Amino acid sequence: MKQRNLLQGRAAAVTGMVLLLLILLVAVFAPALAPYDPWAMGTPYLPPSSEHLLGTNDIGQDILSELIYGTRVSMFIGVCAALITTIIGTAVGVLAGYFGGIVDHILMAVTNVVIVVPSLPLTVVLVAYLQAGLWNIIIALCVTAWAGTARLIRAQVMQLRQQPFVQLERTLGMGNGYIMLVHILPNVSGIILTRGALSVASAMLSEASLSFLGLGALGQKSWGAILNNAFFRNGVVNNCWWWYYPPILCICVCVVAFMLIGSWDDRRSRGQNLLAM
Amino acid sequence: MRRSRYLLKRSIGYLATIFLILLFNFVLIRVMPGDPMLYILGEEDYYDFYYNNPEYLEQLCQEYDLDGSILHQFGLYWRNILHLDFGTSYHYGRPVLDLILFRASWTLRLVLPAVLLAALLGVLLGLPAGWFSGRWGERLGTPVLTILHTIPTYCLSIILLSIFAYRLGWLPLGGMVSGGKSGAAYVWDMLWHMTLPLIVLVLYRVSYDYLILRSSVREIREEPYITTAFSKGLSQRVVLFRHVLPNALLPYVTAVCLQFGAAVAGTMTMEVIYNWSGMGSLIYDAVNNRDFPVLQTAFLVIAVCTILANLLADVLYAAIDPRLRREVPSR
Repeated sequence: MKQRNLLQGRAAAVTGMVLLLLILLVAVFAPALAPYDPWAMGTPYLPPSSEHLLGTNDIGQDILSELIYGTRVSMFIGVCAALITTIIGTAVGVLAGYFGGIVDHILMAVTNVVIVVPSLPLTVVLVAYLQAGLWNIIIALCVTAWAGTARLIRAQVMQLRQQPFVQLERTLGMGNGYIMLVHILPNVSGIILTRGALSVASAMLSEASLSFLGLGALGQKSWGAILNNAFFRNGVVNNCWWWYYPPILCICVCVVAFMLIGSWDDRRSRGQNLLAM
Repeated sequence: MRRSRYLLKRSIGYLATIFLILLFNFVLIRVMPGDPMLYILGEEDYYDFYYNNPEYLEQLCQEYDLDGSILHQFGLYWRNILHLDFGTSYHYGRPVLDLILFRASWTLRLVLPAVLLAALLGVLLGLPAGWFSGRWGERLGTPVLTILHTIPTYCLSIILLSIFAYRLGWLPLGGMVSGGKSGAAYVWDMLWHMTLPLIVLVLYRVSYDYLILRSSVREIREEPYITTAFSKGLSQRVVLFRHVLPNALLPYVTAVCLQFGAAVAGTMTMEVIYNWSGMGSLIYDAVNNRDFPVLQTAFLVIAVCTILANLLADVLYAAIDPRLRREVPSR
């Protein structure tokens, strides 16, 4: 029997979703929420006050506004990258698991290669070559990230393929595409969703690392980019804690939110799917 | 027999991976817009030659046969690699591979102790947590360590740096050794500089190790042979150290080896913060200088190191586990 701790179970997942909803709202309503234009300059190095709740940076930009707009960039990159990775991973996993044989061998050979390659250095190399545009970064983040999802889903689909209902449908002469889309896919939806949530978290982390290294999307203020400014433009040296703690907190809260959602093992609904067949 | 076939199969897979990475490096240079020479030489040297010494650039162009057939270029590329010739970094004034291997040794000085220390701590914390799972210590420790694992290394680095180096002044702001020291003083000084980066790496890795060991101990606790051991009248200590621990260490050792790649990647941002001149700072500088040969070769070296660590994990796995289960745990 799997024991649960504070970070597992329904309550944790709900907490994660509430956090995520808040973050999404902030991203959507950024222009309404931000007290200042994040690019507008003013008095530099202001500590937090009632006028600037989180103070200002070295060229007098309001840090709270930067963070609110940064939510948009970070979330956009994270969600897009996760969508692409999850789609590729699911497609590879379902095809390999369902067909088996030579298809499985080829797809898994590729997956195993991709899993071994160290992802952050590869992403850095790709971004350095591709120029740091928003979509280039999303593509670079996706190149290796799909492999883990593919492996998990393949294992699950291989089990499903042995189930009577799939065997039955094959005997009835239903098309492979139909079986995969209508019967296999809904049964792995739990894994797809949890893996998807974790993919958003890991994509956001990678994006923050890239931005921190100065490889972020050009002209975009993501949380990583704000942290990069805080560190390389002497925020740490000058002890401007209001400059570097908030983006760190944002990154961590966001990752925890996705992790809480991802750790929710969707056992019950998966069982219901199987029963409904 | 099965064991050697298993290892052979894995090795072929790894060789294929290295081949694909080399192929990737070859294709990348030629697919990117602009003169491929730019990517072979790096931006700084390319423009230097372009304006000051165009004949030499032309000569280099012919040396790589960039106007010739792609197949011939591919042959030349492989000849250089087999001679371990990855070009010269004019920025640093030495062969790229030399430079990278030197920097890699500094990264290893951080990563190896960190991985080992974290593995040890993982056992010390994970074994009791798995065995006494459900008690308050475990119920408190697991979430704390999991949350710790979600803090990226560079965030943790900045927090610790601002507290211990800037505010309290207990530890150095960065760098690897202060100059003009030798012998014991040199080692001591290096350790002093290593303290913060090492703490960050260990903190980051230990939670992962802890979670792995805890869950395998928890599974083993339910095994029939544990019940048998208890019913023989063995004490809890004997059961724990003679029956549980060896079995739990089996997947653990391989998991620790497999982390190596992630650990090197984790040091990248941290090295930049602590000004530690290892691979991470090298890659960072290479990106900023658009020093492509260094960037590509550094990526290759990291990949090869990761693959070697994977191979080590496979060998250990095959050596320790008589059953040779097929599923190797991985991230």
